[in-house]
Amino acid sequence: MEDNISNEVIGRSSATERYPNTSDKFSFWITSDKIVNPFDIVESEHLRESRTYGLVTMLEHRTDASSHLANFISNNFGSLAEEPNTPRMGATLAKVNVMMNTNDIYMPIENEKNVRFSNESGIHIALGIDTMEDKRKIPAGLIKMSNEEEAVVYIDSNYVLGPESAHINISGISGLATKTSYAMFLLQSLLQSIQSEDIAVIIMNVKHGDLLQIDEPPKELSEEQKGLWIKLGLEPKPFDNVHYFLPRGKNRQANSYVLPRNYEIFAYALEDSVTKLDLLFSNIPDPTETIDSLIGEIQNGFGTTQFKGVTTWNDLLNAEPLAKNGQSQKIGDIRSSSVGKFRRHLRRIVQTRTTGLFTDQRTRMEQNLSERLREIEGGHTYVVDIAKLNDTEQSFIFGDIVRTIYELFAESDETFNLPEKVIIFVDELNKYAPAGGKESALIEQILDISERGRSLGVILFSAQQFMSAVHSRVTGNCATKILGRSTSSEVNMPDYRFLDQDLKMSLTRLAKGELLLQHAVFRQPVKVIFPKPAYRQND
Amino acid sequence: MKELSSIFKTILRVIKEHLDIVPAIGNATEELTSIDVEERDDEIISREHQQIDSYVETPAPQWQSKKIEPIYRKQDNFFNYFMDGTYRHYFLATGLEHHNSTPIFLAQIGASILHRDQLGKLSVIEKLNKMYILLAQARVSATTWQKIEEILAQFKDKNIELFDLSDDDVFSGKCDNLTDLRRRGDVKVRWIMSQLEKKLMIQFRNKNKDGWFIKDGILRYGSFDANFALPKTIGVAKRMASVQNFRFIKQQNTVNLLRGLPYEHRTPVYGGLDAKTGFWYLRLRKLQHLQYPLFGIVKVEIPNLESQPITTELVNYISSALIAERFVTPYGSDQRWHAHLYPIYKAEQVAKQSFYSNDVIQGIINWQ
Repeated sequence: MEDNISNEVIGRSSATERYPNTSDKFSFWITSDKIVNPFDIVESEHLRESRTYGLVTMLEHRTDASSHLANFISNNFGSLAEEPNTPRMGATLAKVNVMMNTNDIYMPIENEKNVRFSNESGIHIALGIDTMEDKRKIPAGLIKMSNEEEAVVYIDSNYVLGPESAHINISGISGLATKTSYAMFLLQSLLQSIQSEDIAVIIMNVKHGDLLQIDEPPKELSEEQKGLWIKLGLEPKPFDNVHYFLPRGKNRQANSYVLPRNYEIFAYALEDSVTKLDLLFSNIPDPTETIDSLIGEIQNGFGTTQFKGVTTWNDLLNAEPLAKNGQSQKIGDIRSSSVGKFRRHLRRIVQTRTTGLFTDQRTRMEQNLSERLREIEGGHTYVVDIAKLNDTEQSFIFGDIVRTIYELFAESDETFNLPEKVIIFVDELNKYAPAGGKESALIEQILDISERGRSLGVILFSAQQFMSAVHSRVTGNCATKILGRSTSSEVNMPDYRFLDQDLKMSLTRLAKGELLLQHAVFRQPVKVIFPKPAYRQND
Repeated sequence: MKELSSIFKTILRVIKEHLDIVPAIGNATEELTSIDVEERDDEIISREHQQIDSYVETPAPQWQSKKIEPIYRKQDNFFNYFMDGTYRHYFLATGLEHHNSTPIFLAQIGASILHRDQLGKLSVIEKLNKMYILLAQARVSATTWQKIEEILAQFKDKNIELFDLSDDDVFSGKCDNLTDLRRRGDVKVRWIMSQLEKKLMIQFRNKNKDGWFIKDGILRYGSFDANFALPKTIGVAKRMASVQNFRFIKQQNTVNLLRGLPYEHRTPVYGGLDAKTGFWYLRLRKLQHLQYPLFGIVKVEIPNLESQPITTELVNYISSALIAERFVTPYGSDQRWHAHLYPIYKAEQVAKQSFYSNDVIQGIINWQ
């Protein structure tokens, strides 16, 4: 263990009758000329020459004034004309959550023990990074403490990509350009730190052209930002081997805000979609499951004599067996009125309201997305643009990707040449797996990934504004949670139970580019900063 | 803590060997102190000098009260040092020897001097803490006293000493067979404290002659010890006796004199104790905020020294600086807040911080 005596003492532990130190928490007063902030990591001297590391969660200033009234009276009953001859005695106290002790001593910190800022080595000990194997370390940001001490934070690939645990979820209010930037930084970090040829990445572009130029260098990246990349042991560079898939528009051209240098257009004809019709109806309420039954009938009957002649969306909507002479027909036990409902919804989705994604016949230039994804390769990144699509289409495509990848890995044996891991990154997860939402084919698919993807090698990186808006089984299965600035009402939701009450309020004060990182290995969440993306962003 | 426990075990063993002990409830009962002790001190001392018939201020005042404007620290950091002493004492037992008996007390006494810098920041500059075992020498045999004295002498370097409760002093008065020694304990402890304060202050002032010094309470002149005759030193009492008569002015006694003292006004400086001191009263706070007309007034005492004539100019300046000391106050923490000077309050707190808690005292006093 590296000696930290060089760091000067910033205060001493304090235990009182009313506010004792415990195995989990301790307090210390801060000497008057020192600045300490929440999320600083400190170390206290403890029994048998051990050290206890802790995370500062809150600071408070106490004076000997028994009440606010005492202060009012002290100022000549509220007079602003005079000022105190002797400023009232006060002390600033830091509250600390215990992280670990170097000798596994969890006796409470005794009174008046010296407290210091931890150095980088101490921070790594405190977080458990010191015991991580180098090959599993993924740089995840930089801790910057109040004394200018810096420490690179690593997360453990065994807890990001499995087998121990997996998945990452990022929350935070929009507009700070933080969530997506961090996810992209982390993907780049991961690809540079781990054997990238074993990992494939699928990225959903959901906003403008944000992620449609990730293989191009940025127009400008400041020296400071470059320095930050290098400090983290990473090269500031764009993504390699990127494939862009853009949706077909009504004019048969790519329906995207930005056209990358190389891209493929994808579209959905009926034959590509029959097995995914349940995903298409994910957002349609179906309390009696009649639509689900009808989808079952169609999937079973497609290709048989019952659906003879049905090859396009138009056929399915207007021809037998679902319709005859413009009238909906009874199929099996499903009444014609239910078939009519199905047709109305389907017509809306694939004909009247479609952005052009659905077509009766794909041209040779228009790809079947799931077929292309079945050719997924390690070391490659696949960007699927859904930014211009409507919600139903976005959900459908995301469901298609998740199902395709999940089935690919679930059914694979050693004869398939699949990458070891596939990471799927999607923003606005609350659209696809909302909290309190009714069960749907899409949610089931996402839950499958969340709960079983780890063992298959299918990893979900997800983001949304509010974690509370996402299905708790999805976020609950994420071993790493990243939290950006949020609102006070949001942080008081049950989803944030894992955070100390004092830290919750700190979330509302996070600055742009600051994130709270809670990782399975860490004993407490830490606040990190990270470099700006090293790829071209929307001009 | 183990060492302290062991020391007291030894002391109590020796006392118990020579006296029959009737222990106090819980082995040690804290003797509560009245908040009027300062008034009592003033009363005791004023008995020697009840008739006030002269001014020591020059030129002789032709007025009864004078308006004073505050001078704040930022204008002039006039007062630099603040001293207060404090004590806590416990009745431990009654010691019986044949037909004689003596109460046995334990006292914790402390005093501290704080320094205030230009920014108003206080720091501890001197601190003294002692513990005393008190019992009446006159009520025990010479052998018993000698044995107890011998054992306590061993712990003098640990700041634990023996003190004779029956010893006469001007504060406690004479002790005879009829004296209630239980009641005498409190006054005696206060006397010891005043001696410790004196020692601390003189030692300090001999080394540090710069800056003005405020001692909490009266200066204890006359028979009560003339050694506080130091320049740039004043005593400030929060409570004062009303036994004195001011014969040369219309108002006859202290209450009459002070109840009409206007806000931010001072009285002339009267001669005290054969003009060895001068004292005056100063109203710090508006009457409308106080419950009693004599609240919010301090009694200021200054030695009358050849080297430091008590001029109107000097007294005005001291009074101006004192008025500025009224903010902040320990309102809510001390009943005497209206006349308390905050740095003095903190000096008392500092002295008290080193006291062992009642739980500790009750833990180490074991007569079994």
